[in-house]
Amino acid sequence: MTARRAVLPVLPVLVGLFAEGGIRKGSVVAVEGGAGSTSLLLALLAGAGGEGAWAAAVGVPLLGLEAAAAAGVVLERLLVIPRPGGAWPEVAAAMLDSVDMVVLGAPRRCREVDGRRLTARARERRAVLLLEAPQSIGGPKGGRETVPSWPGGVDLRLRVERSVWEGTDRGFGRLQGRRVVVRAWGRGTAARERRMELMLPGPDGSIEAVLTPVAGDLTPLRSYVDLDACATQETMAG
Amino acid sequence: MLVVWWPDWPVVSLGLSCGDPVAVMEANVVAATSPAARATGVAAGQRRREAEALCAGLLTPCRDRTAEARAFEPVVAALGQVTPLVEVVRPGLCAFGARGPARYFGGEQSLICRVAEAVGKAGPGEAGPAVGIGVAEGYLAAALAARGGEAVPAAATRAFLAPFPVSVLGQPELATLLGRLGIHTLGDLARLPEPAVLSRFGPKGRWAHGMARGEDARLLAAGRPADPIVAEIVFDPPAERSDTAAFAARSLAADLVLRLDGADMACTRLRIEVETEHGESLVRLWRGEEQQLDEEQMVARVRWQLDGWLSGSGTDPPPTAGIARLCLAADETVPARSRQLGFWGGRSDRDRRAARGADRVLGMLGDRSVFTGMVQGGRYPDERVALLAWGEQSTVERPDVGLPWPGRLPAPAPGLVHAEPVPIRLCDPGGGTVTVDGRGQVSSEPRRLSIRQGRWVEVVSWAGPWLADQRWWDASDGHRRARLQLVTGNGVAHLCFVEKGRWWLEGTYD
Repeated sequence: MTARRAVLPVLPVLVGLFAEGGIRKGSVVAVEGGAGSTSLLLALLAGAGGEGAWAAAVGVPLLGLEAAAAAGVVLERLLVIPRPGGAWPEVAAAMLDSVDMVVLGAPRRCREVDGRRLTARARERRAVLLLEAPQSIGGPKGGRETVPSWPGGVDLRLRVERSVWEGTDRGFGRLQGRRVVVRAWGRGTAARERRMELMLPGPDGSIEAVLTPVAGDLTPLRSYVDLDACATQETMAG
Repeated sequence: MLVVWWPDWPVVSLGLSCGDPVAVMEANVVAATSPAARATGVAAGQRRREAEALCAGLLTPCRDRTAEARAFEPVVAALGQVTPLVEVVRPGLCAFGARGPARYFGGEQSLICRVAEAVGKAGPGEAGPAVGIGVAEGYLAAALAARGGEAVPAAATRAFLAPFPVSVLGQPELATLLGRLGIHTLGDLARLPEPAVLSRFGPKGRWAHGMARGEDARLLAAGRPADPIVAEIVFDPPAERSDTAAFAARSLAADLVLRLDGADMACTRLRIEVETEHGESLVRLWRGEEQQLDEEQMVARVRWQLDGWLSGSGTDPPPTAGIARLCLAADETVPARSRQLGFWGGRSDRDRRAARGADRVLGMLGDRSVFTGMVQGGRYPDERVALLAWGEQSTVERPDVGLPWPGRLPAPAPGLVHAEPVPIRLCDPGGGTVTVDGRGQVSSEPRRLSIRQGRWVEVVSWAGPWLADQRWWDASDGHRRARLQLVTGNGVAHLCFVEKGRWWLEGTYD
């Protein structure tokens, strides 16, 4: 029976990131900021949504549902609550009671008691609480932030380390896919860091593995050299 | 609708007299009581010891649903003389459409007499309580009319329903909630405006509201498919025992539910059809007690029905040969789209749990706070997904996903969509604003991007422009836009557009 399984399934290409082969039910997972975090989040939702499972997205008003559908998320079983306002702890708790995975747009400030209560609720209901870093596109910091320290502690953190878009040139082509490196680390069985290179998304919106996961440091690929050069330019421009 | 209702059927079917104090037990809890037991304070839901403490000499037999169904079979068979379309709701309660038979037998009153006569012979006789027969518009009104043995004219349905308490709807949670708000009767509920009921109580509330207004005929509005979804099995050799056939019914019901799911339908009335080796054919209709029949309920009904037929307890003689063919058909269906789960009670436990959660959030945040998405036709990110408010049956403007939408943006879709476009500045290497002319040429190369007056970031590559005249026929809503995909140095790609010389951020490929 699926109800007795200890983990929520993940897409086959992502299995290598999880020590237990999936996301442990009842755990708190953080998707850290940085380019690609939304795609990674959608990939996790797509994996968990099989077998009739439901998910909810609380306080993630910008989530692109077309991209979600392309990533394989079953929209019919994704409850979207874009603006929970100040009631977010109650809404998130109600959703942890009712669905298998709850994406919570992590608030910048969270009262100790709310965080602990939600962590306990996730554990008790065997639901996964997925914290998403606050979105501040074009804000003063110009990018994504990390998930603030969560009062109950986070079991697993995921971050898209590097992101290179393919398909565009100066005025030619179109966006086709993106190479990323995803890093997973955490506590308990996830203490050993795992990395993986992926196409996220691939040309048709789905996800493809580029390399098998490797432990420890990843040998830098040639394409990253350009990226570093860009970073330097950016600093100069800024 | 005409409803035939035998009060206290679980007691009656055991052959016990309603004059004796009887509490029928199920899992050590009182499931049904006789009038004599009720008089002493015994009620459904009490534990055995509690009930025994209240009433000395209480008889506490165990509930036997199969026996209840078997004992009811003669009654249903007897009704076959009046109409071929009897629907069994549960043992002790059955119904059929009254309009045709009433015309045939010369009015509702004579139909009632006719029915009373037919079931009187088949029923438990003198020992049992009097049967209740009611005629009214809609199932709920007819069931309530059966208590008093009345015939309610169609125009008086709402007035007839008004004095009944909301608890007759069989939704205890909702009834408690309404009671706390001072809404005690169906009349109180019917007087509320529909949008207010929906926003406060969600789909369940709207359903209750419709029932209170006597509109259940419309709510159950006959989805009688011309080509019903059917699952059948042929037994070779023929099944001689009811449990052999009932065992096969399990996979048959699973198959039926699977195909209903595929068609996005739920079954509200099940037709069970059996053919014997000698060509005898038996048909019976079962209506869902709580709207729709799930797999478990279908299996139980098939088991009861087969047991009733094969035991020969009906007025008809038992079949002379084994069962050669068993056929289940979804005789009446309703749309079962997931956004209606709250309405129809859901398909699986998970669906029901999710629907309850969504209803709870609606209660906290109010109407239009919970959505599900649906991909539809359209060209641009803000058009290609419809947000359907939970509990509302939205009509989708342009559902044609399959159609080619000339000029639509190629995949992948942006992971973040700004419903309100964000103002940006886009400059060329010289610091001037980039423009796009009417023929789709950029004036100069985009080089730097600033979002919401933020710091400048380098544009490392870009694609486009894609030109569009959107809704050009509409002077107020029409606009001409040119879109670009921009990749910045930090590995983020954006979807931007220019309209009337100003640049906006529409989506981010995050």
